[in-house]
Amino acid sequence: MSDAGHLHLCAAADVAEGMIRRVSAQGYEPLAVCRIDGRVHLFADTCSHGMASLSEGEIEEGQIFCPFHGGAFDVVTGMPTERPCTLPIAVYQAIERDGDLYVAARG
Amino acid sequence: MGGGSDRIAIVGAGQAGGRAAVALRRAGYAGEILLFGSEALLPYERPPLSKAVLLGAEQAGSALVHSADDYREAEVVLRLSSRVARIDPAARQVELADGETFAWSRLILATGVRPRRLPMVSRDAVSYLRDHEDAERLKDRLSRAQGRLAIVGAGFIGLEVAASARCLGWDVTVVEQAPACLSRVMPSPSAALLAGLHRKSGVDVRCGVRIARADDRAGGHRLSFDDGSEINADLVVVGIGSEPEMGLAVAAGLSCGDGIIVEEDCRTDHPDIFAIGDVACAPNRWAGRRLRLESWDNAERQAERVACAVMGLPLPSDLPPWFWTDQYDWNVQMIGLPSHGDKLAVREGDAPGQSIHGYYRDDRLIAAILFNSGRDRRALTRLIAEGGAIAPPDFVDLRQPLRVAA
Repeated sequence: MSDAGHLHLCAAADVAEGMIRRVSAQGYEPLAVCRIDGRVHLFADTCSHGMASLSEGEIEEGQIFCPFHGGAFDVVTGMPTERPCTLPIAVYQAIERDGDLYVAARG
Repeated sequence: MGGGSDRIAIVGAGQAGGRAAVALRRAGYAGEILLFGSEALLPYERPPLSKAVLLGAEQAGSALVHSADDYREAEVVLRLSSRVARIDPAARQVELADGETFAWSRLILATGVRPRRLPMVSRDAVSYLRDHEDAERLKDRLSRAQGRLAIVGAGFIGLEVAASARCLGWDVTVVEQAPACLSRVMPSPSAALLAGLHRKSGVDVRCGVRIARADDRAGGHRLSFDDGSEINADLVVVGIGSEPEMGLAVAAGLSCGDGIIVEEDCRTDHPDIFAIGDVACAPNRWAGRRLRLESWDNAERQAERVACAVMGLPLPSDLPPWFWTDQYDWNVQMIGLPSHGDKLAVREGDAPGQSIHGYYRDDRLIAAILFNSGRDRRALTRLIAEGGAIAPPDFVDLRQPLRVAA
């Protein structure tokens, strides 16, 4: 599926259950991808509160906890769930196909 | 009276005021909501002012409490650049500096604090840091050319400015009249760790010295101390604490002490006037007395609390107070209110710079200070809120989870 409409993120096997990692795609801010109950979630890697990388944080109960201040976001909606985070982060649709993860190209 | 029969006026458009306005609507308030702020900006977050803003990573006032859309959706009427001159509890109205009056059925005071002034120096000779203009001015000054910065006061603001200025290449001296840094906010073993971080970063930290004289000199300032020492600085920043902005409340005859006196539901001694945020002196079960807390978290929580109180909803749970400070690449968080007599237990982290100071009172963990350990905050908050039943040997043992013993 390496067509012009989709950008490769990483191998699906690189995101095991409960894991999170940082990925990049042209035209996007730094991204983080994680897997919860088999489903892949893709969102902005930079915390909306402070300059911290969410991919260094921990996943618990469907939320990503920022390693810096300990705030959190819902990985599905990007909405803040724990203070001091009060602004949402961007979430994107990750596509899993043939053992790889993709995101739609930005046009 | 106009809309005063069902109208809430909020005086003060900071973290507490902005948050309360939207929280009231989301809690179901159907009347009019008016938010008065003396600054021209939408309510913004203050924590970045001494950190990201000074470092040039963020514009002052750009981190908003709510977006303009949020206020529009919540139908909050914003009256920015409007200084309230008087509140009249009997006539139930607020009067602006230009004479315009607004009726209200309920009033929320969220007027915040102002920096305490250093009496022996003129306002122009030194910088204070409270609002976005202060921060922009200080940032411009710090980014223009490096020089010698003297900071008076080793509290959170003073030390955060010290860290930012060091990162920008300034020579920094911090002077504090108390025998140690941060002595009003945390016990000495924890404060010493932060003082050490500053010394290691090249800050000259001098405690136990009092300013005797301040002289403006050509292009700079000279501070003379009671021990005979002197320093010359190109710029002086003063961070010696704050005073509650309670003039309106005092003039209106509301009960005031160190702040506007309120009950658990943020109500003053007038049944329809509330006070929240930095200006409110509220019963605090973690302190065992009334206390005024100057923190982001307290502003957030009291905003939520007052919305519940107005709507007759159950008040949200009373979590231990929480503060954080960022200095250099360190994040320090404090949960609860430790005091100097509490017993310390240290849980070392597994990375350099990581540790948790647990403070015990009567064999209970009552407070914790987290150094670069933000991910343990939730567990510790829960632990302390539930009574802190974790024995010191378990607390310091990294193999043991941070939770109440089964």
